[in-house]
Amino acid sequence: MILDALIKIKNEIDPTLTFRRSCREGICGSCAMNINGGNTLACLAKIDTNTNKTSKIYPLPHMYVVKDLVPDMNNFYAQYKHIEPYLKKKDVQEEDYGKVAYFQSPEDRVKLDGMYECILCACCSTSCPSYWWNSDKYLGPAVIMQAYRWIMDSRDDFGADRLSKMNDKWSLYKCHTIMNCTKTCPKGLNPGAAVGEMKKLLVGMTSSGIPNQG
Amino acid sequence: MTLLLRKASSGFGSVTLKLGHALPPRACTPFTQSKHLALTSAQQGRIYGPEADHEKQVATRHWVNERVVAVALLPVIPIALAFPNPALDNLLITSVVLHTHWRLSGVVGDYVHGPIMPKICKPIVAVISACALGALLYFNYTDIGFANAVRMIYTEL
Repeated sequence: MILDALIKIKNEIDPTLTFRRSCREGICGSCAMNINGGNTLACLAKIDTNTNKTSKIYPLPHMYVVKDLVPDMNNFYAQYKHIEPYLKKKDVQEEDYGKVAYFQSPEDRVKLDGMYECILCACCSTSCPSYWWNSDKYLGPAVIMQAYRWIMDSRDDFGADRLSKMNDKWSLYKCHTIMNCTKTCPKGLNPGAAVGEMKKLLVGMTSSGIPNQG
Repeated sequence: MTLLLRKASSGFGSVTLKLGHALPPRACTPFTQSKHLALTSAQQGRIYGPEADHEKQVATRHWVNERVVAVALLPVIPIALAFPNPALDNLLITSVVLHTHWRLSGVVGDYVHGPIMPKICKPIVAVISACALGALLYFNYTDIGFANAVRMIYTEL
């Protein structure tokens, strides 16, 4: 994988080459970078077997670069924090947290499939041209999909509030259905569909999770 | 060095970390409902955050209207061109200019940034749309009408 090549370069050729990495198995999201024009995880991207070809490796597009392949992710994390990605219950006091299990039917659980697996690698958001031009105000597909995930969670009581957070000109509606996000997701998720479902919810239509595309 | 990690009962974000040697316990503040983004960045002043003043419901209404007009254009254009008459001509012109105005405003919102450029470009778009609508309505009123003009382009030019 490309990550192995990067580590070899760092070990043997240039120790100053700087990149993020952790799990080396495609689950932590640290090594997200632009490889041969597409955003993926370096630990999952295969090296071309044709060794005459060079691989072009760039940091994630339109992100401020701290060093080499390391982008500044603070804006992305701030946007994730903004959607309050945790369970919120009404009428439950702090001292009662953890005492009672919140049950969820299998049908409701299925609605979260395709969204809970997101590893927040930011490949999708940084592949979106709309996010490039407006990353300060447009939330980006990753964050919108997580916002949708928490609205879809049947255990959460604040769905309406979460939805109204999206109801301004910039947070959601700067998505122009470019669909680079779904194309580039290294985990095979469908953030574009989630954004579409979120738009449906805001209009007042019902939505039952990302449609299964088989 | 013993390390005690105790998840406090208030859920996400409240973690008390106690180290074996003498460091005072430091509690992280629980998440508040504020929209204040207080993370530092490699680029100071870069993070603006989502808009503080939300134009509620207006945004969704506007988005829906944009799609409605876009879809309505699909039958209106062929019908108006097929049956030239003043009413359909005005309907065609209004919906085309309205659609174009909204999309141009969207383009300005997407691509024009900074403190002053949007203040210049948004009025320019409004002026262009107003002039287009005015000119086409005037054309409809005084001249042969938009549908007939289009027909002329294809038959006589």
